[in-house]
Amino acid sequence: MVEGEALVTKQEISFLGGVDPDTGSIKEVNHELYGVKLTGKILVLPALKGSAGAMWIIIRLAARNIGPKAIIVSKADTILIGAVIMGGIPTVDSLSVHPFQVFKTGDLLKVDGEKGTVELINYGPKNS
Amino acid sequence: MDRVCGWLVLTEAPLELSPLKQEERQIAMQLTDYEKSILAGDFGEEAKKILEVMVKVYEINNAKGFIDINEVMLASTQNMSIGGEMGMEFLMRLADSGIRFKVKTITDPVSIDLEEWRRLGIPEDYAKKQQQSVDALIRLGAVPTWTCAPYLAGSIPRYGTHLAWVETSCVIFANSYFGARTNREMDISALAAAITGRTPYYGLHFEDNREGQILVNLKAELISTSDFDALGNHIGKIAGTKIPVFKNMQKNISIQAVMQLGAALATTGAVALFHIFEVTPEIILDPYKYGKKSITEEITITDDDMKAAYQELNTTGNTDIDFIALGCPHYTFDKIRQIASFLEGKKIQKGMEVWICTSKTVRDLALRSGDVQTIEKAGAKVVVDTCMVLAPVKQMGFHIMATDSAKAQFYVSGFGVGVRFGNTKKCLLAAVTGKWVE
Repeated sequence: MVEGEALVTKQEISFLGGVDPDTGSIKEVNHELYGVKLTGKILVLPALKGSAGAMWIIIRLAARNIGPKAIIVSKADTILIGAVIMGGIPTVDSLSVHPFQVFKTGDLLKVDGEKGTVELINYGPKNS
Repeated sequence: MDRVCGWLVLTEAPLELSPLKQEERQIAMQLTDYEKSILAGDFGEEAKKILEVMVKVYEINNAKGFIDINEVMLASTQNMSIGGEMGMEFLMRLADSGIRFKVKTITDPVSIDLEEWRRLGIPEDYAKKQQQSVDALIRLGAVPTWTCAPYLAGSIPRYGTHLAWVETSCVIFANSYFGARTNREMDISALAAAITGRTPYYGLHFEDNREGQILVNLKAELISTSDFDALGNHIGKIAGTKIPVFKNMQKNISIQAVMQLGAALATTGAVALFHIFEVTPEIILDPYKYGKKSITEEITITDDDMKAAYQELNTTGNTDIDFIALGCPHYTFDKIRQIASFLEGKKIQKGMEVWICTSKTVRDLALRSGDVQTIEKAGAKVVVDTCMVLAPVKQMGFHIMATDSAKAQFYVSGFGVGVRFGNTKKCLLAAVTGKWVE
């Protein structure tokens, strides 16, 4: 079970090439989160895109504690499943709502990967 | 949607399952004694972890049993630039456990040319580490293909056969061009398939999940292979995980063009399959089922859309190119020959590094035909086992790369090297004149 601040995107992420494995920040130039750090955030996104190499980038970020501390995804594909199990990252998918439509960046969330639940603890400063 | 503090959302199938529930499910999914013994830890932590992932992939996808597979392809664990030292150590410990692959397992490129890394300027300690992953995979029983176009190097899937492939450009090519069946695997699920000889039965292994979803009506003329890159790059963004169907594409499309289209679709999207009317096998056999019945969206592509698609691929205005890299995916023999005939009697500009990437198998053929000699005499290098995406090109000091591949454009830009995208001829002209002309 993990508590943390949500970082929300409606755009898919390619962890290979799209995220800096040394800093944990988004480096895909055309991405809406360009330059933003994933470190310590609860990342809310629709899906992954691109290379299957994403798996190892996510595992390596987790091993160095510079990746997201939890992930909420609309639908986890096999690449993400491998990454979060190997990396030990609490993750939920297939929620009854589209997570990136209801959660907002800055919201304080509690993610329980075992039960598969997400709780909205507090609104972000700009989201109440 | 009302957002109230304390509001709780539930998922239907949690990604992490309680240990008790897992045990019950393992019985329900009829694991073999060998698989149960691996899960019990008899072959060490790595193999155990691999099978645990297999069990979860099965559960999360509601698999309908397991399906025997003909071939596995591994991709990123062994690359120094992706799996890194963690991936290398994982493979070495797995090989030390004594476990071996049960089915034919082919391999994606690594981060160095295994024989000629020195002439590429790759540091020695980097090359030595890379060699350790390679040795571990060979000990495990892998076939050392080291190419992202294994179908040009002897691994040709038959129509309808089941695979567990990882490299995203190969997954889409095997599904679309050959009509073989594989999901977009990752290395851990593919290692499970290599060890057990089977994979959870879900997704694209089922005929009914292979029908087209987005119809792409082409009103533009596609000529060079990079036109197919630009098209794939554009459609991948729209398609996401959906299955595109291309209408009015030329019937005499080259294999290289299909490779470029697929690689680009699998870069900007998570596309694992496409159909082309009158070209790819499933839609030839049943145009109604695969090309009409399940279509929910239609797009038309005009010459203007193609121009815009090219513009999307140029993310730097800088044209001070010092590196030209072609062959992503790995070039066919035909394409190498085309490069040789262009470069014959010409010289690459001083200070310009030019890589033509392919497999060892194709290079050997082009060596016998004399095409490699022609290319290298001009000053370019025919590079094998690796490519511009997997070699440490940023650390090697390149600033601006030119390429004819949308996939290479995306990943190499992400590594912090500026990239110009253009067709093969434009890239080669820059190589011999030193100038990039739009």
